[in-house]
Amino acid sequence: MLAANLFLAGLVLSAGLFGLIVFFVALFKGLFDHPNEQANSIFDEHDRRFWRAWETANQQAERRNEFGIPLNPPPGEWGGAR
Amino acid sequence: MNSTFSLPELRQVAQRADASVSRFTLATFWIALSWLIFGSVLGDLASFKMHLPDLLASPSWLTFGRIRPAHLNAMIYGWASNAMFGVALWLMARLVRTTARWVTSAWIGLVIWNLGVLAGVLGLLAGISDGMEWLEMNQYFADIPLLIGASFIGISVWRTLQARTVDHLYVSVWYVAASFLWFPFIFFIGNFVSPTGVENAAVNWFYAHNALGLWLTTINLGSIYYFIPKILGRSIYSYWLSLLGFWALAFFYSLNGMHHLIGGPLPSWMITTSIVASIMMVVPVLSVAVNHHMTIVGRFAALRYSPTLSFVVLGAMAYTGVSLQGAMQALVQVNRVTHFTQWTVGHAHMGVYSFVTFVLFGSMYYIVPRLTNREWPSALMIRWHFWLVLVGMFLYVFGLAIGGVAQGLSLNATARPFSESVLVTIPWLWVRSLAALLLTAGHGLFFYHFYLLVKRGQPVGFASVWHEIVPTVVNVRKRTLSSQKEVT
Repeated sequence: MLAANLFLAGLVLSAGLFGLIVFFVALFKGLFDHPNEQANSIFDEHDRRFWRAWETANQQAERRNEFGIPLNPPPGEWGGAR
Repeated sequence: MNSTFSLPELRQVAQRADASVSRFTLATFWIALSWLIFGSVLGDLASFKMHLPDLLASPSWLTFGRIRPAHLNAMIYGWASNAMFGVALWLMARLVRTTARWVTSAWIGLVIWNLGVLAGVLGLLAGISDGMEWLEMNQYFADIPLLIGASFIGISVWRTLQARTVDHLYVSVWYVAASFLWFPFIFFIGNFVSPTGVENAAVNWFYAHNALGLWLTTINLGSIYYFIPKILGRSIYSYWLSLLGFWALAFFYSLNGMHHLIGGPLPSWMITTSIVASIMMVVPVLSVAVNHHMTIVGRFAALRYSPTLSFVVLGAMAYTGVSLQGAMQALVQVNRVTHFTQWTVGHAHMGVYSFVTFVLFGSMYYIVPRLTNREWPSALMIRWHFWLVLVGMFLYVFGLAIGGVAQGLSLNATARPFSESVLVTIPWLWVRSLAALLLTAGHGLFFYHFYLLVKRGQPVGFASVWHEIVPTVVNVRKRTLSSQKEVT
């Protein structure tokens, strides 16, 4: 019974332990550096210039100031029909 | 590695990434939607049989004990997993800005996986079951193909990651890549490490809970972290918080499964550890919830414009809800009432449907037009699909939550006859069946809409629109440069 318990405990802990090892490897390899660049890495240059109809006038002005003259999004850009 | 691309290069990179996974991802969606329809019909039948037990009672392959596990396995391994394969490979190629690699390996995996699921589900209908929750399909002719299939697809995902052209790993990459390590690991343990007796139950729930948390949850959280910022056009509120959520989930989730066995004949330290870990899950759940909420706050109107965002945001909310509900259920006092009742069925559907399936629907609305270069034909159909499944899910989850509590209280009242605990649930089981019909109608509509898009959809002209965008941007750049020169 004890052996079985130890086996189960090791089994349950092993997934978390593996995660812990990967975490430290990633940390030392610098994979968590530059969080702002990482957060922005999903955007193509045009993404944030698209005119978004749902935004308020202030939000649209902010977008214009930050990313330039708005572009019309292609049809279906937000994942729907026209 | 090169992390900076010019605009035309970015366009080409995205198009090449989409083209490299196009056929594979569309195939996974076709197969997944077929399983969704099949599993929904089985689910409807199982639901009606709960309050109409004589319905189709004579053919043995249509008895409740067979169609219920067939429904569950068709949905988890047929619908959700297949759709996730397609989303995962597309997402990985997009995120690491390269083409998908070893796609042949992914195709081989997809075929092997689906042969395994088909054999397993038909086996269940024929009465061949391993008798373990979430692991009912036969160990040899279903589980071995599933293990091999997932590994083959995982190799393609990891090879794509290895070929990345960017320095940074966005948080979604962590979620997707880790999922393809965790799933084969837990699936192997659940199926092929089978101690006898009560330890078997512990291994069973180690797998079943982790299949939800380290497979279904992780890929879909990766999708949420991609789609919400991408559509809103603003970065995630706190990138550190997103990393905290991922790593906290990685550390704590694997310990949770034993809370399904509260009151069972297992060592108390094991149950207690699991309860503590379940409560600790509040950390990653709240980090995800706060992050998503703060990203979208002030822009909820976007939900009216983007079907992808509607499904994905509701899915994200459901993730928060179901996770907090799960943590609450792990408390012994709550568990005494809810365990062995319809509440648990509602809870499971909130996780696998309100969260996982909603995010998958949202992902498909975004991805398919980009792969086919065609636009979804009907905004009306999208609206009907959304409202049918949303209303259906509300009825389902709240109906079974109320019915489950009433059932649990009745079961715990020892002075009352057992039959009362059955009778009290019947009105709520009818509500569940009505909800299930709404969900199936929504699925049928979505399947038809998907067919219309792929087979008859109007070309969207993404390419031409892109060509319109590029000169505009180039002109803007020229204007900016010339104005800077004038200033200097």
